[in-house]
Amino acid sequence: MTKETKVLWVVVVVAAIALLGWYATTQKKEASQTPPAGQEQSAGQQAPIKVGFLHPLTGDAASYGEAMRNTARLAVEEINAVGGVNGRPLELVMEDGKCNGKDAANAMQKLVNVDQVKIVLGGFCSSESLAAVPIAEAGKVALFSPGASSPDLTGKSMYFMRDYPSDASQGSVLADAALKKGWKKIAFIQEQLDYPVGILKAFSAKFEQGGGVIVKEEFPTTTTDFRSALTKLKSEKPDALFIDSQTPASGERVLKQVVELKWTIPLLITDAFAGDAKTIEANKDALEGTLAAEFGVDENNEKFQRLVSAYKEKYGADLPFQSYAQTEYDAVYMTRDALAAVGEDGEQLAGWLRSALDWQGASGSVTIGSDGDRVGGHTLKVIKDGKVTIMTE
Amino acid sequence: MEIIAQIIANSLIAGSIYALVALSFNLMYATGKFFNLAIGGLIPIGGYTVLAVTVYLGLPVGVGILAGVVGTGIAGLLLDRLIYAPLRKRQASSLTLLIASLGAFTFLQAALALLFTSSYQTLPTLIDKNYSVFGAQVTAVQLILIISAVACTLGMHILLRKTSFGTAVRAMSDDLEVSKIIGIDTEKIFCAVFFIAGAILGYVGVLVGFDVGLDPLMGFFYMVAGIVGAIVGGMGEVLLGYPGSIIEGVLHNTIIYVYSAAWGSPITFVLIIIFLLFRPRGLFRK
Repeated sequence: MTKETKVLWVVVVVAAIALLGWYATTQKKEASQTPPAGQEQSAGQQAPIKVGFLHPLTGDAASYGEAMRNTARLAVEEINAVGGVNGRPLELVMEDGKCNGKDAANAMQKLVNVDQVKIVLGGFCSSESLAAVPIAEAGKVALFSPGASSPDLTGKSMYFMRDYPSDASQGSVLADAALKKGWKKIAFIQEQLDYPVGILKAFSAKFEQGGGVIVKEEFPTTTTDFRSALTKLKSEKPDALFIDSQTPASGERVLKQVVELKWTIPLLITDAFAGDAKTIEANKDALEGTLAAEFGVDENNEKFQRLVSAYKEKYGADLPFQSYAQTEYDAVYMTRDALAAVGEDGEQLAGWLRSALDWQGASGSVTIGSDGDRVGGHTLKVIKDGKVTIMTE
Repeated sequence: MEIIAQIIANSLIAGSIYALVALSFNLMYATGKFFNLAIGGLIPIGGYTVLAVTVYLGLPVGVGILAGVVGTGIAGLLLDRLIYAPLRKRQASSLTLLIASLGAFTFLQAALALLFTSSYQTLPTLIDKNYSVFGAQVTAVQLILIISAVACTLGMHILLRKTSFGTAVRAMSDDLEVSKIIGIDTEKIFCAVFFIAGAILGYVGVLVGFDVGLDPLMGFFYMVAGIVGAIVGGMGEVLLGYPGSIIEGVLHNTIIYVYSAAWGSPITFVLIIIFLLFRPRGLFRK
């Protein structure tokens, strides 16, 4: 390449970059000069209230995110059809948190700083919520999650609350049931992960308060041989055994070895285990009478029935992920009520939501405690003939 | 009393699994002089073959078990022919072979996960029988495991002492080059060694599959435990892997009972490290 051609190339490249830059800036100006499409349409009406929406819209958890987006849209349309909030319609600003902290933080930054919303529905995943909380706090924006269940989020911030119960709540529900049964000593075989630890903490807080004793053996996830740990627990002669596993798989492994040791004892299991209908059915003999606490749906609730039929009518499909969809739906309606009560102020919105008491929705009666968690939520279940059923006694 | 009996039984069950892995490891180590980490990938092949043959194809369990043992043997043989033999030809160091075997391990694990998903699966019950020995509960499969470990170790001992194949293996274990010079077809012996070692691992996978179920990553723990058992007994000493592994099993289960389940593995391995520092040649070698 000669010297002249080199210079020519440099000039061409510089000119191209300059052109691109000029084009980009003029585009931006044009964009900022034209009013947003939404406002144009609602000319004569009042401007919409923007509500942030931080859910996983791509990636592994997108199947949840998509269903939640549909549910939230349904609720917003219903609300807007009857006049929105004081005549102003709600508008969802959708952002993709991809169920991870990094993307959720970026998305939250945009919602808070660019869109300047005062309330965000999400993050749907616990990891999204954990990453979004500091940004919500800095921007004084209320963060209202319909799906995050990690006990790490309890009391995390004045700006965070959720209408989906913490995993820990099942621990206290089960502890109550154990005390009611008159059990004095419970053996725990617990997997060394956050979710089982959270359940154990909540269980032991309540159970020991009621005078019970807990003996426990922990195991790392890779363990396949529980025999000696179980032998040891058996020698403690407990009244019941809590299989505190992260997954149905490790729960099933423990269960198999309990049976092989000829140990017949009342069992308690986690909702992750109880939620796997196939495994429960396959082990129905060993699990007969086992207790679990699940956050399920109440099919007799009229508001829930209405959600199911409205969803079917609008999208032509059955309501997916029902236990999450019900809290998603309620979260939108609670947001409406909060906006109507206190207006567009992040701090006050959070305050209003955090004092929600017996708010009636599709997921039943919603009460949010001062720690930002939904109070209760899990119902006691018992396994009968391979089916997880509501405890009636 | 009942508890002590159960802990002893648990130790024997665990130790027997380690002993079978140690046996396979020692056989390969004595001849090939390298740490074959593909063990961790070969073990689950046995169990998954049973799953494929009996559950997916609907053939009798006996066929599945046979296919699992022979299939894993062939897999072991293929690893040697495709990876280790060419490397040996090029005079590769034992470190190169170790890294190659680590690659094989990763590949096998991933391939199994792709074929069978990485979720936990159970095999149908083999023999639905429980035995009570001094108050300890032992299932039929566990009893087979305990007996197999002794039988395989003794069988291997006889094979190595009484046959010309055994003489060749022992010669190769002493010196590979001299073995070649005196006319031993070492590559042929390697084929047999890797097939037998693979078949033993397949058998372990089959029994463990029936005992606690299957997942593609299950082999790693048994590989580590088996190699530790071999080290305790004395590496390359085919007969001594058994007592080494049983000692490891007893140690592990005693710690769980006396102390806690969470500390079972960490304390066992710390003791092994201390042991290696002071007696690297193994417990029984002079």
